[in-house]
Formats: sequence, structure tokens, C-alpha cells
Amino acid sequence: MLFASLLVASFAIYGALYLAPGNPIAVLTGGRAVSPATVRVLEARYHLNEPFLTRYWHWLVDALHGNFGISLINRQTVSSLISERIGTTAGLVAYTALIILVFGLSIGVLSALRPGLVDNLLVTLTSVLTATPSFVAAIVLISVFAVKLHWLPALGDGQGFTDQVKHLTLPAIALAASSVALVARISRASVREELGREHVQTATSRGLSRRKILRKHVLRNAAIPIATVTGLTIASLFTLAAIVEEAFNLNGIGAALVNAAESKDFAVVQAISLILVAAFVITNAIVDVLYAFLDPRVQLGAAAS
Amino acid sequence: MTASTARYAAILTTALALVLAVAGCGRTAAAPSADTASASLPATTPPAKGPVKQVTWALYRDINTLDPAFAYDYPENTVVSTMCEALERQQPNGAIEPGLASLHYATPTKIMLTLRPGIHFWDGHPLTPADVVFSLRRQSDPKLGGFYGSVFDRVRSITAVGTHQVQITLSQPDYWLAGELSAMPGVIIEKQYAEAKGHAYGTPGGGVMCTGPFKLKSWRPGAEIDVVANHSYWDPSLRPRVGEIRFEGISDAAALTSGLSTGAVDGTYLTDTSNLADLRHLSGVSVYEGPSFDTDYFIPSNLSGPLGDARVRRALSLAFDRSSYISTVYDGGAQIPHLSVNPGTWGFARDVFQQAWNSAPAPTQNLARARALIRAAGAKGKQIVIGTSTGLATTATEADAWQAAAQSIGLRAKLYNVSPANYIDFFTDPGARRHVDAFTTTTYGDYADPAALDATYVIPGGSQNFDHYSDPQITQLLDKARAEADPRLRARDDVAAERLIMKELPWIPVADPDTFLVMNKRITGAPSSFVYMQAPWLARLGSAR
Repeated sequence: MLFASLLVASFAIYGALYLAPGNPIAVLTGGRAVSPATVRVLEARYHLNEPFLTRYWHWLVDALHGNFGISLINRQTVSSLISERIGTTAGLVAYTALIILVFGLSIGVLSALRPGLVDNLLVTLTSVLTATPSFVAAIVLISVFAVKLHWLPALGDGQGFTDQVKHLTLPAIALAASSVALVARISRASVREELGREHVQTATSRGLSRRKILRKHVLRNAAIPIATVTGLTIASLFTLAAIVEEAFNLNGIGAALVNAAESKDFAVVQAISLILVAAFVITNAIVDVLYAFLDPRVQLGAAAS
Repeated sequence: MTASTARYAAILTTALALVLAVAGCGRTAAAPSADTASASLPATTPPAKGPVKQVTWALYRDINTLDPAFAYDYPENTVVSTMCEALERQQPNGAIEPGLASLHYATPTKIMLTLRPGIHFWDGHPLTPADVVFSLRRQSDPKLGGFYGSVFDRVRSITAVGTHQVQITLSQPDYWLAGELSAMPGVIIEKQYAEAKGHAYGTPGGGVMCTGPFKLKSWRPGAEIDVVANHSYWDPSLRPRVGEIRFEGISDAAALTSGLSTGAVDGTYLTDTSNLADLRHLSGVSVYEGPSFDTDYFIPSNLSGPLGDARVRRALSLAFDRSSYISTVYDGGAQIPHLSVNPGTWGFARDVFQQAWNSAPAPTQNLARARALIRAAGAKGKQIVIGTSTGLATTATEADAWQAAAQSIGLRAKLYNVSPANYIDFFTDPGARRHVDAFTTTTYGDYADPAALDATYVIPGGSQNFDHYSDPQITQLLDKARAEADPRLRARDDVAAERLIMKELPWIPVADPDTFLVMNKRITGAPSSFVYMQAPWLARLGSAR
């Protein structure tokens, strides 16, 4: 399943990049003109004039042998390019996912369980956050916490674990902002729906403790729609991270993908895109497995009815 | 509150908010700089008072190579120049002095290079004529496809002579080659090392081996590159006072501003002036302006359309408001061009160029004359297509301004929008140019001579001559300059060519921007001129206290 997705995706992405306008040689020359003879030498060296299927086939055969090629632009092997950067993106996504889970779930559940003033305040907060794109959040966070207060650094990756956590804090908050709001709203809606169910009312009238009702009847049932949305949100973080990486000058695979796509650096675009596809597929698979634990009616491997 | 009062209050509040927002967004226009040649701007900054351990320097993007044959843009030139040296060395004021070698013309077609004794590469091996021959042949090798091959087109042979000399024989006199040998084409790398690395030379896997005041310490491509001081550097006058420089690519102007503001970035040379006004107001930072080789041009790339008529080009030039453009885009840090190339390129016979500049009229906006020219050329109502990219702020502003200028004199002007990454295709791909009649750029020559840049777009076959422009008079003057041994006579030929170019306008000069150097107040010493692109003057960086 994963392999089939990757194969189809690789063909589609290679084709799309092939059709897109752009020229890696123009990137190498920084936009200044060079002689046509020089351009021909470079086109031959980088196989830029070969037909599409030939180039795709060569890429596929190499990839299946574990050779993902070389970046046209900085002459580095794609594997080393990715291995240098994936840590930063993985760290950023993990940090962001943590923020989304902790704050999104707690705001949502709190909002549902405390109707009235608390609920209204939290709904307003989530409305503001939903409307905030990550690059706007990035600019505000940098100007307040980095430039004015000097609490956290404005850009870069940092070295060493604690330094990296410091450098990734503002980016993670910027990336998490609108997702926290989304997860909070879904959690709130889901929990409120469960609170209104007949079996919960029955349990309350039978005298079960509030805590037990919440744990066994409300939250457990509310978890499934929450898990779906949270899973999708976290899976898409790998791609959305590109915007935040550019804004904070982080050396991650998202920013590398954007630069490679603009320069038509085929090998790099293919490899990173496939990683993102794989991350998406795997995250969704994890959510599916989670369903099996949350909902006894769901059996792993059962055919869809 | 009644409903109508509430509505009234809402309208008033919105209006007030809009007024405040607009007021907040506006920026006072700086007065355009006085019409003095940028040659009079200082090329250096106050000298450093002491050493500094480490400096973080920003580039507009991360470098993609350290190979001088492929270093063709600001980031690569900036970094390679700190580590690798050319046969001759450019000075901050544009003059050219001996570098690794001294150069003289034994005859008009024979250059003798005499290597300076006692120079070593970082690995201890001495600089020999074999290294020079290897480096120059490599630059001109068509199989390598280096970007500077064409500057060697009059070279017949390059051979070592004795233990410390190299001879270059030419098929025709070529006094421009001496200038090119002070720039990337003349950078000398170690033959033994480069041959061992082959195609990996200058890549992250291969590294470099040079003679300069800084050595390569580490290179994480796409992230940063660190260079450290070379304590056995041969030239005591340029031994580094800074222990280590970290070069980082920062593409986002806002990220650069916040980096300079928080001290995460210590300095940079601005290539994008969109945040210049903000940087001038930052408290811990100083902005310096100096002479530059850059010239901002409008390029008529399709001479089969309305722009093929010189009267139409002159009319457009007369219609454009250069003063407003300079205060908007360069915050006043540029001059209105009297000649075809930035005065920062007057590296020799300065008085000849200055006199020509003073006697040449400054282009001023004259819509009536422009409209008359359009009518005389029968171009009224004709359409031109101007290439632009809304993703590049300066380019978009300039293209919009040209569209407005064209429309104000009776032409129709359409914009053709491409993405930032594809804008550079206009320079290398005739297919991309088919969609447009013109586009804009800021470009530069390799050394301080206006002819270095003019030749590329005016002479048939020039690398930036996009539509076979040919004016026999201009070509003859530049050919004469190239074969002229006496610098003052060469300057007179240059000036005569520039005057003709300003009349015929194959390219229309828009502005002569300054070099913009931004440094944290804790450091000083970097050159404020364009010389950072070709020579290791960043070694002068040090502490300001």
C-alpha cells in the first residue's frame, strides 16, 4: 500500500516538475548571461535535454538501488542533504505535535466541560488562532519575543539539545497556532456531543461519579473523531513546516524542498516529496491502529463495510 | 445605543482605523541623493581598533559552489574572495595592483606574469607557475564549461617560463584581460589538489585549496559555511583581525532585519534594498554606502518590435521618473545616470570619466518631448510587453513604473508575470524572452572599467546582447579601447562609447545604486565598496571598541 502510493506519487511529481517552467542552469549562473556554448555543456552534463521517460526510468532504477542522486545546485548527494536536514524538521514537527496535543486537547475539553465564561473566552481565542496563518504568527512572535524581549532567538537551528529546543520554540508555536485552534474546536464539539448522549445521562442519573463518567463514557467515545482530525493535522505538518522554516531560516527539508522546486533540482524534489508522502501515509496508518484500541468495534484488517 | 448611532459609531471607528493604518504604513520619502558621482563616497569604513573572535555574515542565499570557474553571483563571490586570490588584487577604490603576481605587457600581444616569491597554499605547497597555467587553462576550458571562458577569447597560449613566470600570448592586443585577471577568472587554485579532486573540486565533498587570508573550516551546504583565519598568510598588511567568519544564507528580508536587530547576524552587503529604510533606523547597527559596479537597467530584449526604434527607447527614457524611483526603491541611495555605467567603475583615469559625466546631461523627465518622439516614430498606440515578477519586490516596482511611463506617452504596455525562480530565465533562455519586449535587471562587470559591462550587451556576440544589437561606431570604439595600452586613451574611448550608448540606448540605464554595507556597531573595517566581490578585504574586519 505504501509502496504503491510512493510509486504513483513519484511519477506524478517527476512529471509535474518536468512540465513546470524553470531552469537549473539559470539558478547556477545567478541570472547573469553566459555563452550558449557553456549552457550546452552544462545541459549535457546534467542530462537536461533527455526525454522525460528516460530520465524518470533512470531515476527509478537508481532509487530502487538506494541511490537518490545528486543535487544539481550544490553538488551534494541527496542522501546527505536530507540526513543533515531531516532532524530539524522532525524535531520541529514533534515539538509542534506536542503543543497541538497538549494545548489543543486541553483547551477543547476544558471548553466543553466548563460552559459559560470560560467556554466563551476559549472560543474567542480559538477563533483568532484559526484566522492566523503561520507566517503572520511567525512575524508577530519574532518581533515580540526575539527582537523586543530577547527571550528567544529570532532565527537559526541551534547546536546541542537545549539550544535546539530554544531555537525551535517560536517556530513550533507559529506552526501550531491554527492547528491548536482546529483540534480544540473539534475536541470541544466531540466532547459536547458525547455529554449530551442518552447513555451518559443514564449513567449520571444512576449515580456514577463524574470522573468515571468522563473517563469511560465521554472522553473515550469522543476520542475517535478527535484522533482523525489530529492525525491529519499532524501528518500535514511535515509539508506546512516549509513556511515556518523559511520565516525562521531553519535548515529543514521543507525549506530545501521549496528551493529545490524553484530551481528544478529533480533529484532533491523527488526524494523529499516521497519522504513527505511516506510520512503522511505512515501517520494515517498509526491513526488507524489507534482506532482499534479506542473502538472495540473496529478490527484491524477488517474489510470496510 | 440606538441602531443608527451604533452604525454611525462603527463607520467612524472603521474610518479612523483605516486612517491610522495608512498613516502607519507610510514612510517618509528620503530626498534623492545629490547629483555627485558615487566615486566620491568612501570605499572603506573606520579601521578596526582590535581583534574580534567571530563574525556572522549574511548572504542573500546559501552558496552553491566554491569553484572560481562557477562563482558568478554575489554569495559565491563574497565567500570565494576571502579564501582564494587572483593574480592581481582589486583595491577598494577600484584600482588594480599586483596580487599573487605582477603583470606587464612585454608586447601588445604578450603578457608576462611574475609570481611573487614566498607564497604558499594552505597545505604548505608553494605557488608555482604550473598552478597558474593550470588555473587559467581550466577557466578557459570549454569542456569544463566555466562561466568566464569568454574573457579568454583572445588568448592563444598560456605557458610557464622558468621558475617564477608565466607567459600569455594573445591573437590580438587585449588590455581588458589584465582587468579580468584581478577577478574570478584570475583566481589561482592548487593544481595538484584540483586534479586529485576532479569534478568534486569546489563542492562540499571536494573542498578547495587556495592562498588567501582565510581557510575553509567547515561547509554545511544550504546552512552555513565557516572560514578561519590563515595565520601564515603571505601579506602582513591584510592578515585577518577576525578569527572566524560564518557565512549564512538568509533569503527573507524580514528574517535578515530581525537577525541584524538581535545581533544573530553581525553584518551583510545588501542585494535587496526593500528593508534598507528599516535597517537605517535600527539602533545597534550602522549602514554604510560606498561605490558600486552595479547598474540598474531597462533591457529592450526584442528589437523587432516597437523598441527596435531608438526614438521609442529615447522617449521611454525621457518618460521615466528616476527621482521618485530612486527614493522609493533605494531610499535615496543611488544616482541618476549621466553615462551608461555606474561611476563606481572608474578605477583609472578618474578625471577623464568625471569630466565626461559632468558635461553629459542628466536624464530628466520630459513627457512632452517623449510624446513628440513617439509620434515621430509612428509608435503611438503600439504595445510593448514588460517582463516582471510580483515575487521580487524591486523588480515588480520597477516594471510597474516602466509600464506607467510607457502609458503616459502614448504606448500600450502589458506586464508578463513569472515566478521569481523563472525571472532569471530571461537571461539564459531565448524561449523565455519570446514572451516579452523588455525586462529589467541590475548587473555588474568583473572589474572597475565601464567597458567591462558595456561590451557584454553592445557588441555583437556579447553574452548579454539578446537580440543582435549592433552599432558599428560603438563596437569600433570599444574594440579600440580593448587594444589601447594607455589607460587615459582607453578612458577616452570608453567615454566616447558611453556617450553614444546614452544616445542610442540599447539598454536604458535607470539608476546607479551604491554598495550598501550593514554592520553591527561592535565591528568595523569591512570595505564599503564593491571590492568585496573579488578581493579578500573582509580580512580588515575587527572590533570597533
